[in-house]
Amino acid sequence: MLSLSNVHVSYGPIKAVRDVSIEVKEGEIVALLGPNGAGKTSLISSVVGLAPIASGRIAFNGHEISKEPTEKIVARGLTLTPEGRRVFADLTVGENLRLGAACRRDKAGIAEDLEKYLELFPILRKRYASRARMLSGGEQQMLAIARSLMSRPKMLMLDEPSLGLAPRIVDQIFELLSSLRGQGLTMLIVEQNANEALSLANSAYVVASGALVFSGTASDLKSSGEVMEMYLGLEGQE
Amino acid sequence: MMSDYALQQAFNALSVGGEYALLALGLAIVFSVMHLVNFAHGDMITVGGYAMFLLILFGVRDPFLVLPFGVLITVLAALLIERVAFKPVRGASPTTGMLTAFGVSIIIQNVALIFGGSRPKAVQTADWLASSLSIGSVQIPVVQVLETVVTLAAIIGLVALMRYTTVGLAMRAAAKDVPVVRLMGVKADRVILSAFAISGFLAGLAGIFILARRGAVDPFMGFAPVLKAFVAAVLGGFGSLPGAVVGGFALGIAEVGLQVLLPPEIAGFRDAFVFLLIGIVLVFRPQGILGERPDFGEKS
Repeated sequence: MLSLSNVHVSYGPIKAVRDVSIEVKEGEIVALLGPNGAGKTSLISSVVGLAPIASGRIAFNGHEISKEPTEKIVARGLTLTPEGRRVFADLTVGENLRLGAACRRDKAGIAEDLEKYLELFPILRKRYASRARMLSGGEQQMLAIARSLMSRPKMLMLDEPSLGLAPRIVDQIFELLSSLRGQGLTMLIVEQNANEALSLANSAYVVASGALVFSGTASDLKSSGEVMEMYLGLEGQE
Repeated sequence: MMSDYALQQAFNALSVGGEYALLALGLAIVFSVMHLVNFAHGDMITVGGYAMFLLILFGVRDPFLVLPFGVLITVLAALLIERVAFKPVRGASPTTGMLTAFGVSIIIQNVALIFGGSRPKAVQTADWLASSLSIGSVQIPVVQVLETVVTLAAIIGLVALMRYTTVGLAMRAAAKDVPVVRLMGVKADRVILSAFAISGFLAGLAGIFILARRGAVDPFMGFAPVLKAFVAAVLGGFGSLPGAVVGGFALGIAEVGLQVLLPPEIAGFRDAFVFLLIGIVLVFRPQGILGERPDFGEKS
């Protein structure tokens, strides 16, 4: 569904990502792991046209998208829930969700999805008329995810959905992602919280200092003690 | 008698304030979306004014054709300026945008100067705009009543647009986070062009009233309006739309109020007193009446 081939991302002279290739198949959940500053955010931002691609190819459902503007990529059904949630703080929860559907024209479908996600995230129904800035971190993360879903994506990328959240809330978020998987949504999850991400993912990639250091199935990674320890600071399994 | 005078001056203050509010809103909406202080804002009014002058020159006298034509040309001028001048420097530093705006302003003024000359050209807007309404013993110029009404209507329309339409929501969101607005599938271009169209529309409305008062166009007629708009926007809180409205009305009320209250010997220094008052406000609220304190860093 999404395929990155030999992607390089540079900010002027600084190379953030070097020669990374990633494959995400339809219906799959892929975890993109790695230490802070490894280039994970740069990489997935580049996929939606928000970070400069120096070279390489990115194809989504067979279309070359590496030169397309963000809004066109989103309209193709690929979106990103950015790091730090970045909800529109001065807009209400409802307005955030409506704006999430900005690229759609099917009024009935939008209303249907809105109802569906208010059902799935009851807290958003409760806070529907509040400004997003009044929400807690976990609530903002749920709003950010729901807002992304309002564009009815075929594939969703999430950048650090657990960042800065209490463990209990992190569990809630991952339960939610697991229920979205049940609905057939393809996902690429960037995480520092490797354990949670691997419990959900089919396959995994690890980047460090801008380059790929591991790719394989999630269970391969769990059993690769060296990678787990060196790059993710976790004990590998036997 | 005294209360008649007070009522007349109150209407005067409201209409002047309304004009400033329209001007400041136009400046603020562009600033909020793209952090550009468009100092060519007043010159868009000049373009609309000359367009009306030319249309009348060609024999069209019906104000119901001339006035909308002026507004339309002001909107088109705003869109054209965005395409030709501001789009190429999008993403450059705010200083570049500001200098570009000055450049646009100088070009418009000089084109008007070359083809129209420096002398004011009379533009008859409409007789009824220059007449007065009698309410009891009070005489209120029609232009003042209309200006107040049109300003309120424009503000209500703008609030509705910003709340209920997707492009309005996108404009409010873009004031804080353009990349994420694009992640919603909204074209950045569409948001920016909408902001300029609204800005031009508000300038066009204000332009009609400015022209109705002065009765003439000249190449530099845009300077005073943009200055007032800038002052009103700073006073209200730069970039805040409610702030622009409050700042506009506050400035209008302060000007007319001081005109009335100052003894005749020093009434000539009115503007100095106005700026003194604004200075005092800004000492206590540097961010303006409704402005936000600069936000350092993102909360996560």
